[in-house]
Amino acid sequence: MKDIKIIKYILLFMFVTIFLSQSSVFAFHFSPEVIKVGVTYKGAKLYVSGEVEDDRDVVVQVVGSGEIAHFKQKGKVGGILWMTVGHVTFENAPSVYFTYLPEKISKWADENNQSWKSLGLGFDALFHKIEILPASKDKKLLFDNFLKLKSQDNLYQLVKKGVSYKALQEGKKKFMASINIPAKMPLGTYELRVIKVKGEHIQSIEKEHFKLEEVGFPLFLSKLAFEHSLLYGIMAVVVAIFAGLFMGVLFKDRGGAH
Amino acid sequence: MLHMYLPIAGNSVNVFLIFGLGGLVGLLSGIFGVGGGFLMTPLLIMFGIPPTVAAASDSNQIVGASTSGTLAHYRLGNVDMKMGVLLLIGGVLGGAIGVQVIKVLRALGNADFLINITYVIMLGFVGTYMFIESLQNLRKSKVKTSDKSLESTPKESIYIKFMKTLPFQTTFEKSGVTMSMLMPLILGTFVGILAAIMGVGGGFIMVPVMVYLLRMPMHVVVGTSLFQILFTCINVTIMQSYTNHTVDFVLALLLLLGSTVGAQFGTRISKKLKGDQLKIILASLVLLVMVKMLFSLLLPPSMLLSYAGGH
Repeated sequence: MKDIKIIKYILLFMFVTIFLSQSSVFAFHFSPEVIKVGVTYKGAKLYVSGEVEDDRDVVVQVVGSGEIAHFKQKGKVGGILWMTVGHVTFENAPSVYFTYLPEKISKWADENNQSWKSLGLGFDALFHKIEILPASKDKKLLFDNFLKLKSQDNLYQLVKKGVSYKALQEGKKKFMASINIPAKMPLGTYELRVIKVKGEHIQSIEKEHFKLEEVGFPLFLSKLAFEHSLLYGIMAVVVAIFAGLFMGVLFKDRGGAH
Repeated sequence: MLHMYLPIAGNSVNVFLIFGLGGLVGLLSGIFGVGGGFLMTPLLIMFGIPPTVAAASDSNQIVGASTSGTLAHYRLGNVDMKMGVLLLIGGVLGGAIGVQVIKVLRALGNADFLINITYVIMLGFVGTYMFIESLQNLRKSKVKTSDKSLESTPKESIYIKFMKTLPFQTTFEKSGVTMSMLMPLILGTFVGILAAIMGVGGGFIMVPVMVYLLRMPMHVVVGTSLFQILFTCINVTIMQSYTNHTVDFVLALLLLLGSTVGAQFGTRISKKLKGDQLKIILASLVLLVMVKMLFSLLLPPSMLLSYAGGH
């Protein structure tokens, strides 16, 4: 009985050792952890770096939480006129989806070859995760238009050669990525994924989180607009009227009007 | 270039670009007495502002521009308060009816089709009529020297005779017309309904209505239209802030800094132009908007999806 227990422990130890060597947990750094959105904010950069074995590749992703998004759908009416024919809802669509690739994997993506598809990191991978309501025969067409719209807003990015390497000693290399955070990226918490690729397979995925949060005057104004909306509306009107009156008086003094 | 973050729009904009946009639209507002929402909202959407925020913030900036424009026109004696108040009452009433009408239309389906077609036909008809009529008057004015005499001597048509039969006849001194108080009330309601259905401020419909149906002189039309737009937009700004939280005050402030200056210059330009010259330029603008809308209906869109909300 005792022997069986010892064998069990040995097997468990071996299993954990093998698992750890396979998944090879690795550390990475990123900065800043909180992106502050102030008065003069016009987007930001998120820097990601770390070390990886020489024969591995690294893909960096930023993924927003799955959201429900509503859109107007255009279609032809009477065979001639293009106009809104209905509304569609996208469920489980990440609010943000950035994928930064190193040179080797960028080539796979350019060729759209099997190696690239098997990684499942491109926009195509989202097709089966996103649900479009009401269900439509044109799901692919709607999905492609959704990607176009999100890409136009820079909220979906596929950045080729976005991850670079620098050789280090002892069979290691340093990876670096500078993620472009667009001004239009909604406030909130985002998942940062650093994906280690060995050969044509994903070996491990490390995850961290960073935040986009308002500070100073934008924060004050947002609170006022959402928590004291009537006061905010009246204030907006009063300021506008005074600005108009001020300009009127200013121009009168210059002798323009009579 | 100086950028500023807009907390409600959730985007950053170039300060000078927005100031310039405001200036351009304020200029149009001062010249023609229109709010300029037809131009500003699509431009703001083009610069990355969500449609709902663009439309609501534009209403907020129109409050500033129309205050500036109304004040300038008031000093020039171009605001008919009595007429303006009656049109405003009608407009508010019409707006409320229009909201219900749009609900019924949407329930019946294909409301957008009806709205778009009405918009194109109406703008086309009003623009063409205004353009031809003003052109004829301009030609005639070479013989008759004053454009004022043309504006103040309307033909004795069936319409004029009908107007004279209505009760509550009153004189509108600033406009130099005598008619029933019911006329501006009814027409204001009609414009309010159309404006609510189309999701526009109504300046484009109100100006031709004042010129052709209320027979007001063009310069008084511009001032009175601005006066009415001012109150309509105050109402819209407060309602949008309260119910939808879509007014971006920073965006509106940047726009109105430009538009209030633009409105002052616009008023000066308006003063230098003859009534028919003003009408012909406005008619060209109306036709331009109509053609743009027609193209957007006929040409395949670059994208089949757009964010829900806005006009």
